[in-house]
Amino acid sequence: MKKKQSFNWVLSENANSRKILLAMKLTILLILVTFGSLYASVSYSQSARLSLSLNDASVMEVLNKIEDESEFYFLYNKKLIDVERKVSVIAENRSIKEILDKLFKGTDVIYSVVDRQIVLSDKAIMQQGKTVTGKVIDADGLPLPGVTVIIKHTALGTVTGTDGSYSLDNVPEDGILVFSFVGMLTQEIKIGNQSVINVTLETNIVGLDEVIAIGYGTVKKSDLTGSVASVRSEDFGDRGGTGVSSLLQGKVPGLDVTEGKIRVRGVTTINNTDPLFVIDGFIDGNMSTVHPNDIESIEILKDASATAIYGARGANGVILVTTKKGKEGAPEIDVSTYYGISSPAKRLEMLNAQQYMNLITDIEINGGTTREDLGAFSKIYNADGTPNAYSITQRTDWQNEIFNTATSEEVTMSIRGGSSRTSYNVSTAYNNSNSIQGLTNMKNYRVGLIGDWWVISDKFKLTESFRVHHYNTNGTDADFVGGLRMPPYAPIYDENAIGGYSYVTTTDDLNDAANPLTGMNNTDYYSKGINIMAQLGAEIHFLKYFTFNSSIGVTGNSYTTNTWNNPTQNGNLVNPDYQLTENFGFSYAPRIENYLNYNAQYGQHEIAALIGTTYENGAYGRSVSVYGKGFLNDKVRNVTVADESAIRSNSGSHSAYMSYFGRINYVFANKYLLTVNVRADGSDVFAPEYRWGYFPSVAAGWKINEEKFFKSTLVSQLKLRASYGITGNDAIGQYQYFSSVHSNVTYAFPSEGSSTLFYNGATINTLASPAIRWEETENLSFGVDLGLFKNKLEINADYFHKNTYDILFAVPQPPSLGMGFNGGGGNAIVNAASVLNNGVELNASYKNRKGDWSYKIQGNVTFVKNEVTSLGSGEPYNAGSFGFYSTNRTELGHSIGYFYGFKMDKVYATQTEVDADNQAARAAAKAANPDLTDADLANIYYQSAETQAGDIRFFDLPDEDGNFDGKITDDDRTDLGSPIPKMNFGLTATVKYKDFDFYMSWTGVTGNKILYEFGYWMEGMIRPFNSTSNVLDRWISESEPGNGVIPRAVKTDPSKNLRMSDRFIYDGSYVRMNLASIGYTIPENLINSTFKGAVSSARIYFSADNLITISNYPGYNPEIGGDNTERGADGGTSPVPRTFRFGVNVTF
Amino acid sequence: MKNLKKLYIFLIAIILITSCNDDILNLTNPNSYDTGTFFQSEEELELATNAVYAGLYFGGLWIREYYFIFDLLGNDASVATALQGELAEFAKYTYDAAHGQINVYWRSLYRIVLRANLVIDKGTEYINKNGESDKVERFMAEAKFLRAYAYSELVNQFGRVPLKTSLADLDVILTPRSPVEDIWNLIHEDLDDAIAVLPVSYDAVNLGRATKGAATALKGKCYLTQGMYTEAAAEFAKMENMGYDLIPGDQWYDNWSDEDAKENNIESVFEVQMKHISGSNTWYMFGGQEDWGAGAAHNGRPMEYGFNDWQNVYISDAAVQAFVYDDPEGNEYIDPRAENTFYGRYGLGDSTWCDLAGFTPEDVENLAIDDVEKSLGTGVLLYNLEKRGYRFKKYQNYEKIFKEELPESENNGKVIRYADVLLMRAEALIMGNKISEGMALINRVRERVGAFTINDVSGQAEAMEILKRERHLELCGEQVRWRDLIRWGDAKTVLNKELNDQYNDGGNKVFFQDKHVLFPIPQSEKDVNTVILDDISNDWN
Repeated sequence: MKKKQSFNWVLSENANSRKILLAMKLTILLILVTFGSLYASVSYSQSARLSLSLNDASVMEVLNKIEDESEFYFLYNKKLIDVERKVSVIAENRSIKEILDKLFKGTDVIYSVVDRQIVLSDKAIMQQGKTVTGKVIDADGLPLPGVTVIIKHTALGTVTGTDGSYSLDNVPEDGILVFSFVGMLTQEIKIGNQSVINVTLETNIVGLDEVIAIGYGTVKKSDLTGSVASVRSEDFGDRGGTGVSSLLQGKVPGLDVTEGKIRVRGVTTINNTDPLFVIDGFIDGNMSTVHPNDIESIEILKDASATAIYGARGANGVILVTTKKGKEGAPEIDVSTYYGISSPAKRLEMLNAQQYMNLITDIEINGGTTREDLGAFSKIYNADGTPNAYSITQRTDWQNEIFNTATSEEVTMSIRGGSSRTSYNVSTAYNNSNSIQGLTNMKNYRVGLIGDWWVISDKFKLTESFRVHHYNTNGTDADFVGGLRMPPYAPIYDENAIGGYSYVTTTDDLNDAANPLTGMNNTDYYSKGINIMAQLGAEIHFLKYFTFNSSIGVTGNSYTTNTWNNPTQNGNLVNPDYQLTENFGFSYAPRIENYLNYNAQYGQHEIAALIGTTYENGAYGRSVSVYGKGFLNDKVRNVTVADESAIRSNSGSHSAYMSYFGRINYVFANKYLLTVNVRADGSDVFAPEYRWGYFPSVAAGWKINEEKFFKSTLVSQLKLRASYGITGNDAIGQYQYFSSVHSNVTYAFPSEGSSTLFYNGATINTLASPAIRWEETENLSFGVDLGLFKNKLEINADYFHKNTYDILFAVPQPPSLGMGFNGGGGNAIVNAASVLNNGVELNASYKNRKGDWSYKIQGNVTFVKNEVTSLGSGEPYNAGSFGFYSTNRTELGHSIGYFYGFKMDKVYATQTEVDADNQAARAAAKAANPDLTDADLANIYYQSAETQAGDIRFFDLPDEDGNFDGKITDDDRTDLGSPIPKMNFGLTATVKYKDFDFYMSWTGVTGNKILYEFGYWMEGMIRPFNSTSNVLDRWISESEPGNGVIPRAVKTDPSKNLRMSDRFIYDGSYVRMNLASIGYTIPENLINSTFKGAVSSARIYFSADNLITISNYPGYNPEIGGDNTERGADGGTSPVPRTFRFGVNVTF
Repeated sequence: MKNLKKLYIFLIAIILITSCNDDILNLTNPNSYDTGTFFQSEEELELATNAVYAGLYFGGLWIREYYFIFDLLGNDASVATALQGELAEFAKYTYDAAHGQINVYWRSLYRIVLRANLVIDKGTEYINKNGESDKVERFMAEAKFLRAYAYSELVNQFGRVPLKTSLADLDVILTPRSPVEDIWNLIHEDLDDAIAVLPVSYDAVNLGRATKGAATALKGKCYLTQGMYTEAAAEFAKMENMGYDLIPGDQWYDNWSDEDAKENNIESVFEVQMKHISGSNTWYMFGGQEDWGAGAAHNGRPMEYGFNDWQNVYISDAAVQAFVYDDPEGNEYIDPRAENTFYGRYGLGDSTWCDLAGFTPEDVENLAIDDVEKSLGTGVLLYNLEKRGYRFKKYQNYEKIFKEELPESENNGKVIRYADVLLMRAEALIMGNKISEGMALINRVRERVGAFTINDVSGQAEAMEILKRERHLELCGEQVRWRDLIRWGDAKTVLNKELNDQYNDGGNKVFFQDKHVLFPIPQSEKDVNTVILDDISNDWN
């Protein structure tokens, strides 16, 4: 029965082949060979033409001949079919149907064609089965082609033809036909004694009965008990980026998406709040391998009931990504491409050369430098200490040099299709984008080969998924944080400088800012690598109710980064040598997963049960970093030819994971829903006695609208949900339960006779944490789903209460412990704290269609309150740095990582004000302690001895008892607000009118504070750096007191104006239209007449990213990320690119 | 269908096989040894000992900040306009508890304490288990010397500090400050142990390790600081027989050389060993010790101080002026050490800044430098005082190279040298009223450089004045003056006068306040070790 494969369809002159030929031209990149067999299966029975000429042959000979001449093969039982019967068949270019009709005319033999397989059977024997025919139409009465019609619980089925009609043989009377079509409500119809079943499919406006992925299975949306949000590909808009976070921002309630970081339902832990990604069932899959155009839908599992099946790994929420699969039918070829132009959405106003020189002169003179001293800086000052002609000449607007207009382009292509036994999706994507902030060019290539086959029988399915992502990044960006500090008088180039770019030094210019162009133009950087994700799975149906799934998968990556530095001179630093740093690494992580599903219905009881295991062993990786310095020239870039070389690091990794899980979904009478989950996880990050964590959850739902007593024409859906459960988190580094030796230590004992021999050392720098155990989150959630006006309006509301305890965190330790590296670190992980997150989510969507108009508006809002409810030792933790001060603090009774510092009152306009404060401070001190002498009192100041007019006055705050001590001390620092938004919101609207479509999505936050840490440099007033123009309003003298906010310019900051204070704290609220687009779909008749069937649809669009941002924030971008303990501190967040794109989507 | 059954059995077998044993979760760190099993052999303990020395490289210590902090505080150095940023705050005492270098200095010293505690505890364990070992005992003695050094810095600069004496103390996160007596007691116990075990000298392979002499000198210095003059003098006297001597006066400048042959000479008592390591990161003096990849051990001082490099400091006016004083006849006398201490006007400091050995006159002509600085045809560059001001020559390498170019210098840090020991001993003797014995030692130091000897002194007060000047001149730019001034109780008067003269036309602004006798307790310690908060007054100490 094996058959040779034929590709004659490629050469024939039908429409299909034209499509293919056209596709082939466009898809040279696609490697189709391995998938050729899949393409060949397309409606073969209809397209194949046979010519036979047999006289007086047995039926068996005829069948054999057909098998030889075609790809068909026959299945029959010799005992039932008389194959010895002699017949004569003469056929010229006939379809198989015609031939077989003729062959078996007048006999009891009936046949059914399923793809290439033809089953012969006896009419008498097949009496339990019958043929059902019918027509499928939509609500408007138009025929629906391509509707899948299958017999439930089997793989048997067909697809409606162009007129919407179908015919299905061997249908058992007790069977159920399932009609499904994208965008339509799936219908199930019991066959009974009907032989003609006509169906009208309702447009699935509200998607209520969408099937939602929930982890190891799917569930009808209406049967959900947990909190699961779903974003479908059509809601993505004409996006530009390829990151998932940008697809989700503003679309889902309960999600806080900031600078690429996704946090689900509050900041539950101090540590790692990244959710778990599951891609087509692949836990912790490599998201970089999936292009957004390949994504069908994204489900976000939010409460314990939904996430508990992922146990420990789901503590921060789970994001299930379902990619597009092939469907039965002719290949659908989608090609999308866009071209975009980006530029920074915001610019800062900087000082010009004259203003800059005035500022730095003020800084120096007020700091005690004399005019004579300044005169020694003859490059920029005249001998009398006034700025000279050179320095007040504007030469370079560094902001213009740093930022530029950049282009991006993308081409993606996918071919999807399948037969009743197979499906496939082959996709490729190419993305090429340039940075608006320098020379970085990123090329990304992605290929996905996804397929499944029912093999052997309809009980056994093999699934395969293979995705590859190759990236090639070249060049580096300009450093604007350093570069904006450059003097405006400095030219761009200096041909005498090493490296060819100008530089400034403290010895000539007082300013050692780095020319942002030097490093960028003298660095050859590339980063190349490949990420793969591959999975092979088997799905076995047995004993009617059981399905067994087994899969083996692997993610892997291999990378190299290569940094070649030409000699440069920049700021005070000279790098006179060619240098090369090269890193190599690879890693892979295999995993095996097995689970068993049981699905059954007994009367009104529907039960779905699941048990399974995940086993991950052998994740492994190595990396090495080599360094070379001193090359003859830049021809050979290999450390072995360098004068000096070193292996800077060499490290390995391995990890393992084990889990067992189970779930029961029980539905009674389609009204009462119950879900019970349990999972046990074993993690290698804990000592054996703390290794296993057990995570149960339970949830219930009540579909009130299904109750008989509930009759409402207004309310089409009303469901209540409640869930409770515990999830766990182990997102800390490995090997913490024992302590590792720190051995990157050297000392240079002279060891006479050798100048290069250094003595190695070894010591400890981090404490072991032998007793750390699982961090756990108790998660209570209530929800209500409401559908109105036939579910045109859908409203979901959820309340959640998440209590995370035993939070794993590297609690800062006192430096006197002696741990850590020079820069800090060395803090041992402990189960340190508890955090409570309370919140409310609201989501509403309204969809409607009227005449030529259809629209969908979805809006959501989330309110979260975050509070630290316990701390291990009770002591607050500080994090972040603003000069020498920390920025954020985590403390009992406050939200995680709130801003901590002084409160600014004003700038002292006059010395009289300063003196008055000092007198008051002395009076207060005297009142508190009458023994103080005048000499003692002379040393008492409100702020400090150095404070004078033009310095900032900070507020003296009362202590716990409400008493003021009359002076500024460390205790006058206070809570300056939280970086965690109190409210996140988003709005997405899609409007279609005839062939036009409009889309926009908005996102925003409010109720949070952000720290303009970049202001430390841009309006610091203490070092001779260029600054933003608001420093023109500084205090200059008592007669020019400025705006009362910007203090005097003075070197070394004697009065500590630049301490961490609310001077740099801003309201973090913003609203941003992050995507807007307008599209036009070319009318079908125009397409048909132009492309003669080769193209089935085509759409063009314009889209724009970040067109509008509403915010009061002075920095480049109010969307400030950061780790949980030091969030919201903007040390130099890049401006968002404003991108305009033109794109084309074509389906063949 | 039979095949299918086999397949099911096979798959179920996979589940059973893969799901049974959680031994796979027992992993060891592939990149590091486990401290639970390490530090148990002589070799491993030697590595642990080396790591204590490596702590001397950390931030705030000898790679970069130590020289800035204490030269500026003691007004040996004054800030040049080119020195921007926080280090300049030391010059006028405007720092506070949040000051980065004070925090780092504290952290680094405690890191030495921890590393020493490791050697001492694990060494004790080793000996208890394996019996006596000369090597391990020496390692423990070296560690005790270094622990004593770290605590002597802490007690001098901060007064009362938390006392950590063993690894067991790691379990106590919140540690109150101990009385200074307890800290001095630990220092003396450690030094006694070190003196008992450490050798007087080492073979070539172990050169640079702490010696009996180093421990003795440190002990004497501690006594001196504590005002225990008899004990101090006795301690310093023990060094007479340990082979130390002053190197000849014509080689005085070699004390700060970067050449191996001139380092660790008979005058050096304890040095921090510096070397440029192939492949190391040039810039790691900015805080990358041990966490920026391959180790490094060079310092940045000649680059930072160098007048032809970053020009971050001058030698202070007061220091320059100190080199001119009256001889016994009442005539203006220029101390001979001036020309090797700083560059400047002829007759005071050095008039040339580079002999440029090996350069031809043509080479000199081609150097890109102000014409006035080239002495045409002679191959010598004149020092342009007008343009460059007085700058340090000590520790600089300009006698050999035109420009430092990179902060990769190999000049060892001189923690204690014998001239310092002799002068400390002289001080102890004078304060103990053994004035002539003290003056003899001062004269020994003076004679070595060819300065006139001082034979008639009127009494203790005059002898101390002479001693103070001698320390100022001999040890200028060696980070001892700050501690000297505090010890003598002179800091407030002397420093305020010097700074007013330099910056304030002889006014009477208060730069140094009484609180500056001690550093503020670092903010990073207060933030976490909150038990000490109530033990700190005025946000300071």
